Amino acid sequence: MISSIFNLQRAALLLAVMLTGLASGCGSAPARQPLAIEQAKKADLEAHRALRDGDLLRARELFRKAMLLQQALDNIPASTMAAINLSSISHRLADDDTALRLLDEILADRSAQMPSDLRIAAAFRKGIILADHGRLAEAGVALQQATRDCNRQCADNTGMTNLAARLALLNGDFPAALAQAKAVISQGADKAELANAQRIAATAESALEQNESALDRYHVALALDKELGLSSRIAEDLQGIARVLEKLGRKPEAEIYAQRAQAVTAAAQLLPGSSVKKTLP
Amino acid sequence: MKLLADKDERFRGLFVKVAIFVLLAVIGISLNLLFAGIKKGFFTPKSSIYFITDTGQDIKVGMPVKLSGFKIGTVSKLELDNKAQAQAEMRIENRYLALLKEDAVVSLKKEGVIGDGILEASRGSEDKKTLKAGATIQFERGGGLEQIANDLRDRLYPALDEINKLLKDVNDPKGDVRQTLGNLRQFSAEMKGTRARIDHLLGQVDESVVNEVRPALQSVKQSAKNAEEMVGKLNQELPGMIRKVDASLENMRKTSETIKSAIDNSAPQLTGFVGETRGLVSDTRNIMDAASTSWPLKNMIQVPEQGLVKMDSHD
Repeated sequence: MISSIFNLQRAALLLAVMLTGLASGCGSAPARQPLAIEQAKKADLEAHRALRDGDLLRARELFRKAMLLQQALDNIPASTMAAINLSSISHRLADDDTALRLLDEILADRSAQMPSDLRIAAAFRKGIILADHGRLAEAGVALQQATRDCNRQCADNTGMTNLAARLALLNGDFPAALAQAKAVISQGADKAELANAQRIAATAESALEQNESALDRYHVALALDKELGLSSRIAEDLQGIARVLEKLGRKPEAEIYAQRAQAVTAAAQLLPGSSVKKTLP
Repeated sequence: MKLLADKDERFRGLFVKVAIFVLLAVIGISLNLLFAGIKKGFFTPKSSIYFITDTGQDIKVGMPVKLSGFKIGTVSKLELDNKAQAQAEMRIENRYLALLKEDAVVSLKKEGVIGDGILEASRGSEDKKTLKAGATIQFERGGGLEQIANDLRDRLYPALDEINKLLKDVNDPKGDVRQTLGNLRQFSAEMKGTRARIDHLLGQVDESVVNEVRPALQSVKQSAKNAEEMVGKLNQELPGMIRKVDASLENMRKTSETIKSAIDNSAPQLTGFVGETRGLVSDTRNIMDAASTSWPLKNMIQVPEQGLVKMDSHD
């Protein structure tokens, strides 16, 4: 009997040791890295955190810090990523000169260490910014570069097709724009690109006097943009609906949608750090 | 009578073994307590020293008493005396008591800028006798940030009141300054008129000296009379005004000195404060970072997505 008590005691002791080990293993923080590497990672993490909180100015400062720290460590992939992010934030803050300069620097670097997916991302983003400025030919060149390097294999593929559709729309080639937007819709994409494709298709259809279908597409885009919580896009969708309704002779409804669009734009512009864009096709 | 028969050889003499084991444990614990007590100074001979203050605010039992940064004792008792003043008893280690003189002073300070309160003892004058057990020494409240702010406020308010009063005087249409300025303006206008008349008179002097000189001279006489009255008024009013201005300037000078002194006093502390705050934030961030990557918090805290910031074709 006593020996069984001793065995029980040993088992309990073993269990306690195992539990202690398990608990300490679960609770331990990851091993520390060299200071400069930790600082760079922390700057990047804090930049994303600031972006999530909507503090674009702080995000810009932190992405710049992360970029410089990574450059100082000759970490080309990480510094390129930080530069692309800095460019995106600069674009949101309407500092497109800086945004384009950063992207051009990336695209000018032909070293083997530059990851191709980042070069594609840089070219794609350059195309988006140039399209915003109406520099359609240059945007087309940037998009071609991105598409060539991507070869339909990269994550931004649907976005590129949408950008091509947008450029076609801006060039007045409505059938081409509609075809490309429909291709994105049929292929499937994430909500943001799906909403963009619906909006482009709706605009093209409206231009081609297919107003009923355009109205439906605008409503689909509106629902998606509301899910995404994108004020500027919601305003665009509402304006598009108002335009189509007016074409269909439903003026009272059109006025209501136009007023809603104005209210959304006005409210969004009053928000701090707002960068509500004008209506884009 | 034995409850269990010790048939197993291994349990022979178990009671003695257990007794020795328990005894060793008790001795170990006792020694541990003894050493801890010695280290904590429980057995160090101490003497009581007292101080009296208007209020016991911020003074607590157990508060350390330090001399030149070394702990020499603690506050052991705090009670109200029959005059409703706070009487505090400090237990000072005897070996340090010899370092304190009769005119030693304890002052309430903060350890760091945002640290706990401590009592800092000053030695006192070298020519005085050594402090004896049971003596009462002086107490003062030290200048933490709050104290500096209060002092600054107390000294700034009267000066600001004076400035306010002066500005009111200046803005008051019936006040000395406005009235004097009005009188001066009137005086200036009259003098201008007089000068014009004299100019005119000089221009006409060849043609009608006899007819014109007399009234012009009368006018000059009148103006001079006015000027004399004005000067008289100014003589009466100016000293008062100058005194006020002087008083205000003196107050402003004092204010400036007070502010300068406050800045001089608080600047080193503020530097320390900023440094400590920065350190505190850094430490907190480290703790939070470590905690957020550890179980179970890592499953609860949402880490922001890293990598490329999302940008779609319509951004």
